[in-house]
Parts: sequence; C-alpha cells; structure tokens
Amino acid sequence: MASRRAVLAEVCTFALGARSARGGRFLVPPRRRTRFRILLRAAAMCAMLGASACEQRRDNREVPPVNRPAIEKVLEQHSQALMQRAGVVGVYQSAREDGTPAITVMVLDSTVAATIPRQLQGYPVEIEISGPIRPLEGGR
Amino acid sequence: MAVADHQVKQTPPIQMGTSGGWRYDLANGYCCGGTLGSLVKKGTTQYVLNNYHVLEADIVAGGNSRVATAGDPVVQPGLIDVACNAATAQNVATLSGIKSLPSSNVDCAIAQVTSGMVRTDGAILEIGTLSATTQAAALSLAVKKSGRTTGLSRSSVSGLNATVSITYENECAGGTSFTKTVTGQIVIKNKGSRFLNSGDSGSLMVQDVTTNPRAIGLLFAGSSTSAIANPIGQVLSFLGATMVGN
Repeated sequence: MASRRAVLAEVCTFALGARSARGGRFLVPPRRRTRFRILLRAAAMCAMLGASACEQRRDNREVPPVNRPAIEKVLEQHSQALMQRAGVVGVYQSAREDGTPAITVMVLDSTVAATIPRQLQGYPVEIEISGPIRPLEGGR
Repeated sequence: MAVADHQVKQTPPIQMGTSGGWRYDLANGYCCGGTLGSLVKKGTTQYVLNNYHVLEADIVAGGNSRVATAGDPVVQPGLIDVACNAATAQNVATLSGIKSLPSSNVDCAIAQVTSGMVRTDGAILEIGTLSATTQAAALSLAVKKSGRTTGLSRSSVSGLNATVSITYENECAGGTSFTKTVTGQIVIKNKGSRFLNSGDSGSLMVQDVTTNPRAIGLLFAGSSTSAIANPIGQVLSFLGATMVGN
C-alpha cells in the first residue's frame, strides 16, 4: 500500500494542477465550478493527511503492536547491554497505568536516568529511581 | 495482630512469618536476622524456608570466628529481637547448608525442623495454612506476605522477567562478598518499603486471598521503590521440595 506521504503528494499535486511524479494520465480538466469544488475537497484532504503525517512523525518511534517483537524477546536482547551501563541495577517487563506494555529500567539516581533510551523496539521505557537493590536481612 | 507479634518468642509449636535466623549471626558489633517465612517438605521431612543471605551468608571467620555450617541451630526469634542474646531465643530447626549463592539463580536456604517446635500444618501468622500448589506471578496480581518487620502487608506485582544486580555481604555487618545478577525475577511495588523492609527477608509471597493461598515467590531483596522475589517454582525446583499445604 502506498505510504501516506505518497498519497498526500499525489492528491496535492493533482489539486494544484501539476503532473504526477510517476507519470500517468489525469482526467480531462473539469469546468471552473467543479474544479473549485475539487480544489476545496483536495485542500481539506491535504490538511487531514498533513496532520496525520505530522502525527506519524511525532509517534514514529512507537511501532504499532502488530509490527514489533514480543516484549520478552526485546528484554532478552537488551537486558545485558542495559545492565552494563553504569548506574543501572535492574530491568524488567512492566505495564503503564493504562495497561500499555513497557520496559522499566531501575537506576541508582536521576543522573543515570538521563542516559537511558526512552523506547526499545517500539516499547516505551520507564525509569525507576530505585537506588541500590539490597538483600533485606535485618541488623542491629 | 500487631507487627510486634511477629517478633516475640512464640510458645511451640511456632507459626511461620516470624522473626528468626542463624543462632550465631553476631559479628562486627552487630547481630542480624530475618523471617522464618514458610514450611516446605522433601518427602516426609519438613524444613523452614528462608534465604541464603539470612541463614548461610557468613562465609568468613571474620568478626565471629565462625562460618555458617550444616547442622547449626536456627532460632526463633532472631538475634535482632532478643538484644543479640541467643540464650533467650529457642532452637527450632537445624541448617541444611545448601548454599544456593553465588552459583544458582535463587537466594534460598532450608533448615530441618526440630520435632515439636514448628506447627506441622505450616501455618503462617495472619495468613494461616497454604495451598500445596503454587502459582506463577502475573502483572497487577494482588499479593500479600507475613514477615518480621512489616507484619502482614499487601501489594501487587509490578514486574516480570526482571534482571537485577544485588550485592551480598560475607557476614553480618561484614564486607562485600559478591555481586550477583539474578534473572527472571518478580518485582512488587514497595513504595516507602511498606510491603517489604529490612528483616522481612525470607517471607513467602502468596496470593491475596483469604483461604489457603498459593505461594508465588520467596522475598529476598528490594529498595524503597520495589521488592524482589524469586519465583517459587524456581526455589522449589532448586531444593527438590514442595510446599507444606492443603
């Protein structure tokens, strides 16, 4: 299926009266009133597609669920490298409050948090400033 | 029941979810202890289930000229609740000396019950008896535990398949022994250490249901944001044991 950008380009160039970059034939140019209605509709479609394309650019790091690997696989692939980063003490599979699957990285302090990527293969990364994880025997 | 009831010397046979530890856990000016969390069995022999770092982590002569050895007494309450004076605690079990760390992926230890000292139904303070079957953790699962420091506490599972790095000492208030990275662990919300705190190590994490809950994990580590538990299946598999329950 053509990408949204390609569709946007086709519609907008058609509306503006330019040739298609891929060649091919246009319809016989309509009369002035019909052409104006077509221009209005094309402009509206451009605006909608343009907004959608912007939205996609903002979210282009979040891969649709159907296209990303299982979270267990992503953890398996990235845990070791994350654990080797200075100040990282844990990595686990978690979920955001809305149930979205996520990966949580446990760090010693906020300075380490700034060094951690915010997404991994389509999954959001949450930071937990846990401090060191210690065995919990008691002492006095 | 008050938290203090998890710290006092019980009249035998005792319930689990109570203060306990290695009788000789006194070194470098400190004494240490944890929670005798639950009962497991191998064949017909019953054992108290606890952590390696509570019962067996003293591996240097160091500050007390002792290392944890198979056959050593396990006491209730632990030394931290008898002003570090073992003479006022009671022997309830004997150390098996398995030493699960640093080589395995579980922080566990067992001590064979001394006849007549521990309830044979495995009842845990404020939880009662358990199911003989166990349950795998799941995100958002409601859980509870009974332990020496925070008593009966509740929370929920916030993470699975956790890889966590933990540093262990070589005796009570001793030096660093090793840093262990464990995998496949369960993470539980622990804001403000309200679910699990120092002294609760060894507590069993179970389903938050009223009757005969299933065991889910063996609690052993954490911080003021999260607690960490070994999946109980891994623990039992390592020990070759099953839960004492109905």
